[in-house]
Amino acid sequence: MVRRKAGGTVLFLVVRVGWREWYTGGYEWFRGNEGACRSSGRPVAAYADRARAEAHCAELEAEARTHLSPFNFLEPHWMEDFSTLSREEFEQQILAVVPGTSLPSKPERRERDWAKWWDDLVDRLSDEQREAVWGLFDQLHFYAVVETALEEA
Amino acid sequence: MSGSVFVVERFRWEPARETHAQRKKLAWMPGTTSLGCFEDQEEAEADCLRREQEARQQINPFTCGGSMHERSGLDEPRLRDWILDAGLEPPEEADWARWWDERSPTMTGIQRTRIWEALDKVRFFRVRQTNTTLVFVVAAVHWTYNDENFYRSADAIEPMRAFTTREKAEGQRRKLEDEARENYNPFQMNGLSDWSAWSSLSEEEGRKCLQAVGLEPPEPDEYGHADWDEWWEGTDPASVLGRFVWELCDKVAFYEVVEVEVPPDR
Repeated sequence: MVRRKAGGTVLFLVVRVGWREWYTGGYEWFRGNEGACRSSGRPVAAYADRARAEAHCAELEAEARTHLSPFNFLEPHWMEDFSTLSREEFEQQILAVVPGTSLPSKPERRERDWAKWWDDLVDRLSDEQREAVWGLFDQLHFYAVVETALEEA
Repeated sequence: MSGSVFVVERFRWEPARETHAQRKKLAWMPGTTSLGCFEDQEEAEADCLRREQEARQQINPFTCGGSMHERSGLDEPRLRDWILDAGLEPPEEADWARWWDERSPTMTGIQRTRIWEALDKVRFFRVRQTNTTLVFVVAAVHWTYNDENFYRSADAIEPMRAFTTREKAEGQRRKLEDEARENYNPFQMNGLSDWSAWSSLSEEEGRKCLQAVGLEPPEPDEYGHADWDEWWEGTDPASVLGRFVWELCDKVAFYEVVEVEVPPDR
């Protein structure tokens, strides 16, 4: 059903979240000047129905996950933007999902090199283990649905 | 306008970090760029295939993605079997990129095709069928300030409002753009000292345009660098000349109109 709001019909946009490659490696989330990440970006499809927009968004998200390493996007300093788990819980869960592995080393005053650790490990994991690791990134997403108004001619 | 068409799209493979241990040079990123539109599916498929084959002549597939999982639906043992079946000896160690560099020149066309077939996640183009019902979304560009200048990334935009015609969307964008320009110095956007970041004209052409309307552009220093940022200070952005300079800076935008497909009802 088409909804209307002041100024026009409601439209649900599927947007590709804005990332940029960070000069120190990895990718930086699209953030505001205050540092908060934004669930917004470039629109790729528009629907009058939210459920259809959400379904398309989920398809695109699933496609992205088959190609990407979640650790290329992780910034442990902003852990809450990537997972509802704390850093400690996240690390414990990794060890639980991938028994027998050890975490990447933690150099003094630097973050663990998660991206390389994952690239070296991922080929030896089962599909279930990979899905479980992605599941730890419950706040990381590459697409989102945002609402806007359509002004008709 | 509505109807079904076939769009040839390029996947976004972007340069990856150079320090990567497995020689990853290209990283897949979400999204595609539309390159061509065909009414006939066969024509679209042929165009896509031609582009794919050209790309494969240039690219080592094992430098795409950081792990075999990012390249293939096959795990490494199965990939090795696949390569044996193609009559080739896989590498003893995991340096697949070097193996490709060394071996691919002596492979037959069929062997190379078989390997690309196995690396089913390394694709550069595709054909997508779509309808052509569009809306036009005005989106605000998010510029981030780094204490010296403003920078942006391609997808860092926020949709504001959608329109059924491009004309109406462009009218809205134009109005918002003019308002935003009053608050910024165009030469502080996209970096501070590179003319090519501001304008699609060359710096020489830009200078001639300014001189043609009676403006004296800044003199370059001994290193050939002109301080455009300082030159702009004090200019009224709403004046005729201020607007003229902004028009020259066509690579600096605060709003965009994005063409967005509206998939048909099922």
